[in-house]
Amino acid sequence: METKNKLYKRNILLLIILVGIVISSAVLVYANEYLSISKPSGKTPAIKKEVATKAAQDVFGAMNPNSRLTSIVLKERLPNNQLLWEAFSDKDSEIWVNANNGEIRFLFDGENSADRVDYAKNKFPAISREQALSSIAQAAGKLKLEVPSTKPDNAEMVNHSDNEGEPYEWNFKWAREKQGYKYHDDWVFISVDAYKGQIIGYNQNFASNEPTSLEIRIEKPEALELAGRLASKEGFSLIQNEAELMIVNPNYRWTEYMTKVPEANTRLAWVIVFDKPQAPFGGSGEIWIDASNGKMLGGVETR
Amino acid sequence: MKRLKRLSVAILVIAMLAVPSTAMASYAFDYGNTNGMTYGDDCVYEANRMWGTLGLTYSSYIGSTFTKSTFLNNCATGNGVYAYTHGSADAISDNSNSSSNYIYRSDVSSKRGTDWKRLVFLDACRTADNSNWASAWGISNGDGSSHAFIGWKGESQDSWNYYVFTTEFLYWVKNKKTIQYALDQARIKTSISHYGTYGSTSWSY
Repeated sequence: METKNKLYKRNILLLIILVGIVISSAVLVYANEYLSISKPSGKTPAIKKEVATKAAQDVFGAMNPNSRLTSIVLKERLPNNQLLWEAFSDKDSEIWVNANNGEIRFLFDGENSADRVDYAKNKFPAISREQALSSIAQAAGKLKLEVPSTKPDNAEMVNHSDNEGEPYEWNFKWAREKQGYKYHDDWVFISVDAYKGQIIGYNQNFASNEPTSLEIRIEKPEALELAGRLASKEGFSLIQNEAELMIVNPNYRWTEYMTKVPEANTRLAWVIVFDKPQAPFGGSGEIWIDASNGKMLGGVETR
Repeated sequence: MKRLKRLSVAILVIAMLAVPSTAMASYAFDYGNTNGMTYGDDCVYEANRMWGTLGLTYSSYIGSTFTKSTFLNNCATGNGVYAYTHGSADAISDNSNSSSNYIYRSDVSSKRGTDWKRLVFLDACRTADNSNWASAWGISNGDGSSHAFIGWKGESQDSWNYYVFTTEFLYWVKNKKTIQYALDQARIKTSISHYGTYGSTSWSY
């Protein structure tokens, strides 16, 4: 009887240790969760699930009539905790419906992504930039995409390898604008295959809040001087007179207030370009100076 | 009593599954430079998650543990490599960023020997400017093997948007999509299109 009791106690002890291991492992896993770009949301959205599901299914159907929505989840996505219905189809495609207004915010066509490899292999002729843009305009209506009517800020036909038969794509990018000032990190991006012009993906990345003011109190020479102080401290060389007014998301790089996730509240800033001379890893970057008050808002640099 | 034993065994199995594999003979290595870099630790965390979900064992070196000697000692084993650091067409830095510790592609080539790599992502400037880095890892176009080298043509940034690119790419590889699918998703999510690939991108884990 005593032996049985000892055995029982030992097993209970073992059980407690094992439960402890499981809990501490789970804590370790979650403690190591650094940044999470998106996570499921428990918020109540303006656009109900049924409405978003129908919108997404309609677009999946327009991409391929045999396509079927397989999942839809309400998520919050950084930056600015954008509330989105994120849907997937059985054809490896993805659509995000803006949960505030029902618009298609993002689209990825998994079939078109794969098909362009065959077009390249079969030596289809490449289409021109105008043909690619015309193809986008035709598809935009049925896919319910908001395509800017202006000329793209960037248009490039690229591939990513020297492999023979590596497929090309046309990529177009339009910066979001307010009163003639371009946003640094808000844009519309559309990618189509360079043979039939079928849309591989669409992203209306307007995640930021509009700036509260577009006032300019700091002129370019002063902004360059302010940036120059930081540049000399960090060992950067400003490129002479390279400064442009843009709407930026402050990240306070090079300060103790630096944020990994850029701020959603934007500011009009002087974007000042610098060189990093350190060989062999020389590069470049930008310093952002607030156009209203001269504050250093951060910037970016290459690796 | 039997019930208790069964329960103990079940919990032991769950515990073994829950503990991330970081020790033992590793099949993937992740490196994150945090010396003046903002996102090195986050990207390595995402890479760890990918290897773990795919069932590979891995070792990760973040910050001061990312040294030239560790990197080179690991070159001859494992079939996956992810590194977030400074780079050029010829060299990458370890966490010290010191010129005496630059890791040259010739070092990698000789240390790797004939070891076969399946996926190498050198997440650093200019690592795909030409085929040299890919060759150092034994990956080349048309070599008939299902493996891939990913790098950057020109400069890449230590910035939020590039962090999103890396995270999206690793996420879709983790979900067993082809390398090309994962890169397409990353491109559309970020508008970044100047990555370069060598080897084959039509395979998935």
